Amino acid sequence: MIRLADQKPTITSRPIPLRTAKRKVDTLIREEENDPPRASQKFLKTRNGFKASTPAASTQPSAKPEPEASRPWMERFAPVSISELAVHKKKVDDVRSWIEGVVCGARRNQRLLLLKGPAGSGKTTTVQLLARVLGLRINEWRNPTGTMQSDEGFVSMSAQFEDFMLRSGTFGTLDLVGDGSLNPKSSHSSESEKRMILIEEFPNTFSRTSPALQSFRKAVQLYLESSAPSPSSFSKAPKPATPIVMIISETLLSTSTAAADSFTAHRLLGPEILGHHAVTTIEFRPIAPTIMAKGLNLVLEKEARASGGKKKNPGTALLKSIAEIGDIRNAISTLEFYSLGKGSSSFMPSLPLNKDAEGTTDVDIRSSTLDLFHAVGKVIYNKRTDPQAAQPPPHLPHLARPLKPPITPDALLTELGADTSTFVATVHENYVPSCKSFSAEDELDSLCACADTLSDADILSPDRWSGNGVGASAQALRQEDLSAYVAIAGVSFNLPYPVKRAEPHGGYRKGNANHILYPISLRVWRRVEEIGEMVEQVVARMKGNGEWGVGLSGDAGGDRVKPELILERLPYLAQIERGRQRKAGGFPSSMTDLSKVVMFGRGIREKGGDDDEDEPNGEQWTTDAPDDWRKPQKAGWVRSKGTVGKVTEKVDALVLDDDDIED
Amino acid sequence: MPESSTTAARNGLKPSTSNAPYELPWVEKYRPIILDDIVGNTETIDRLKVIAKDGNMPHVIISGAPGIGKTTSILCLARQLLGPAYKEAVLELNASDERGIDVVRTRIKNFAQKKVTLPAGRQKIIILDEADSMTSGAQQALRRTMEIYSNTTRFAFAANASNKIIEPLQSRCAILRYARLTDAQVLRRLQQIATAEKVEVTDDGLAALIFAAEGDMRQAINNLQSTAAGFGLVNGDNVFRVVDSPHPIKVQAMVKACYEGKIDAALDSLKELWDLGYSCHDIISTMFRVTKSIPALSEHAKLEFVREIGFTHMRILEGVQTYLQLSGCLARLCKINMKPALFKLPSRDMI
Repeated sequence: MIRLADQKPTITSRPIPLRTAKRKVDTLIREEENDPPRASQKFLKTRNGFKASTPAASTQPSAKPEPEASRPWMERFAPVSISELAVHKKKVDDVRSWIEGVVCGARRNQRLLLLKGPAGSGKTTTVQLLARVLGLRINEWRNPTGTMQSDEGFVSMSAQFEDFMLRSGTFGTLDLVGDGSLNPKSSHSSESEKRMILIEEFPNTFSRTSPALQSFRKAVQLYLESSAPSPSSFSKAPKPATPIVMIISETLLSTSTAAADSFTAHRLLGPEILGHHAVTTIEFRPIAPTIMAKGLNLVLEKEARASGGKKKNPGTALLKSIAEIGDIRNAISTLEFYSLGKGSSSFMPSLPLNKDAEGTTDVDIRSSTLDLFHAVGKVIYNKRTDPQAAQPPPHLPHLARPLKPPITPDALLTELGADTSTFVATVHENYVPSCKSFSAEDELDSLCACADTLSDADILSPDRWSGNGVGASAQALRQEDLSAYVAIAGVSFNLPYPVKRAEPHGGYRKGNANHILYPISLRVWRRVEEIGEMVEQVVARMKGNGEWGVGLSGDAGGDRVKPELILERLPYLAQIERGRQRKAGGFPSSMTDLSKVVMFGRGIREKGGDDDEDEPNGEQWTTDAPDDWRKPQKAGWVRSKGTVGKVTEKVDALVLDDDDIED
Repeated sequence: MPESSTTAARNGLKPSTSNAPYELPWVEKYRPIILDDIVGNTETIDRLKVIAKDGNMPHVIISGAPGIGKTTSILCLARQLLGPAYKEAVLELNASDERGIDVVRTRIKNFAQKKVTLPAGRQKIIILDEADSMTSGAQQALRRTMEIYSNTTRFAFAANASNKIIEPLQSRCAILRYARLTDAQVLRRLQQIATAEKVEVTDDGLAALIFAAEGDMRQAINNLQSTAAGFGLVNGDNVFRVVDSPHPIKVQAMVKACYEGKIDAALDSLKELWDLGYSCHDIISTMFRVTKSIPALSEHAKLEFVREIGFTHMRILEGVQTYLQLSGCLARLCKINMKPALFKLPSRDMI
């Protein structure tokens, strides 16, 4: 970020307040007029705040300590250098090499970098810091404030966006005739500085067909087409142009309710752009506990330095549970919340995060996965301690349970942070190993009974008919309660006591019997949606002018025909196409889509199915790697495809993504 | 609501306005003014008190069921933090206000940009009540605002389900989850109000209020007020007349009759309830709540009862609101605990 470099001389030469200096610089470079100070200024502030105690900074009388101290920790103590970044090093290197490559021309055909990942995984910070190190100026799109009125708002905003893209694009190419040196010191003095477009705010795009979304995509596509050379003109060595970095916070783990309106790269950009050759996607993961712990420690140190006090010690138990959040922003604010104690250097006593103290978790860890797994554990371990008050009549001896669980389903549900459908799905994912019993007959009985109650719970769940708006919401809630009650009571009634979890068989991962898995069904929705859209694309193309010489009758896209199409026609079509292409020698992009549909279609059926008993394919939640199950297929596919250059390149890019963040 | 000194509202016993020309809803009249008066969730409230004293409120999301003091505690916190500047420095928007994306872009941003002189460590507060009903577009538009103005403005969200708030916002906040109030907590506050209002309350009246409220303080107080206004005396029968749900004791008798296999007795009680004019919804949901809490039922019976009630509830929700459905449900409940042998068809050679 060039502003930073610029700023130093300003400060030393004239003793104007930091803020004013900053604002000046800001206004100078601002493309969009009268916006409030940017978010990126937090790094400036951080730096000031951080160095407040060093002699150099303290000579500046103008540094305002008061507003500094009033900012939240996550901004005051944000990382100031790449080494402080709590992101896996490899990921940072990936981003860095992409940006470097595009700017200096090693990857001239790349234009758009898509960073996606859960909120608080350090995407924005990584880009900001890298830009500073590489001496790039960030040109950021911001949604305009209140400039447009009411109904025509979206349209005018997307017009503004198109304008922005066009101008920054042209600007970029005009500007960038420099020598491409990477030295930030020389680049800020010369006029030939490099720039980068950062898009983090998007038009309101929550319906698939909204004009705002369409025009947004069009603007991006236009940019890609105009500035990126096509792969055929590879040899011409185009001028390095301004890269775009888009940052998208995606939801990884989604419940059925949230899935409908969550925000994914796919929904925003659509398959055409995502599949464009000038686009690279790098996916961030939740931050691993070890890295997170380091980051939190750093924050605590900075805090001690800033406040001049002793380093606060939150205790290892608290730190550990906070470190498991995976979202650094939330982790830091949770830490800050806990540190608001009476004594300034101590944490509040009686930390409720202690796992043994049941039911007092009043500060919630985000995503509530901890609570979820805790609650699920209570069901599938079927702890029974208290003597049962009532027994069934003597003619039903096999239904007697001498002990009862210490916690009623109701209490469990009130304690539960997640919504009930997620909870029931997680129980469903995990109950099977608990059914392990000495005799196979008992095991099967318990398995059947559990499956039976879970299936009933599923039928009872109001999610099923959410479409036609049955009943008032209060009644639907009651129905949800009923469903959850049946699931919880049913599973814990039918599990053997005491539970002895079976080891996972089949050598799937080095799984441990005690691991609780996150329901895979809630994970694949994103992929399902992507593939669904791809199928539609293929169908549309087939319907078109018979490009592939397949006359497809009118209603071929209908729901009834689709399975047949996917299962029986497309695989052969892909084979035929492949042969034909090999003869012709080309490799049009339509081919990629087709093979993807065929390939993924198989993947989903195998892995996303409901037969978890045979194939425990859920993931261990701690590693949180939704992509891992795709990996083997990818590899297999590459092998079978041999030497199709472009595709292999694509797959390589994906494999690169699949690193495991955890140390 | 007028400013009040901290002494005025000790223990919520004194109404917050005196000499009102008309009677305020008691919920408003006895809404706590300071954090100390809030019932339940003591650990979280203690922390909020520390914030109220020291300032520097983080962004927060408070989530939990209705009527457990989410909004109240945010309002108290804001009042204690900002003191006389409360009016100027707090923007409160709830679901009844327009909160589309335009409001976020204009009204909230304008408020965030507004200059208000506040003591060190105090920030303006934007309270977004019922935040889970905001569209995700509007929530997306908030992300940046939260970051840019965080040195002068803090956000407080109240929501029934924190998972309806988009992740980027959750990521920026400390999430506080409020537990349901216990019956004892609701009881204590009801007694205080009844004393302050000089209402005659019987024990079973209080029990009925608590049963009907299901941990929702607001509903309990409202029911108390309506019963007091309508009947004068607050006893069990009057309360259930006001809340218009079947008396749980009758329903309990019915379920117990089923457990013992006495189908005729069960059907009689059902007929009685039906003739009183209760709807299918009311009867079946009271059955569910009662069944969960009868200690005399065995675990197996409870499970099967709830399952049957669930299926009937589902049918009723789908529109089959008939007496027949309820009778059928009772008959199946009776069958659960009877000897399976009774239901065997006579074997072939006997015919």
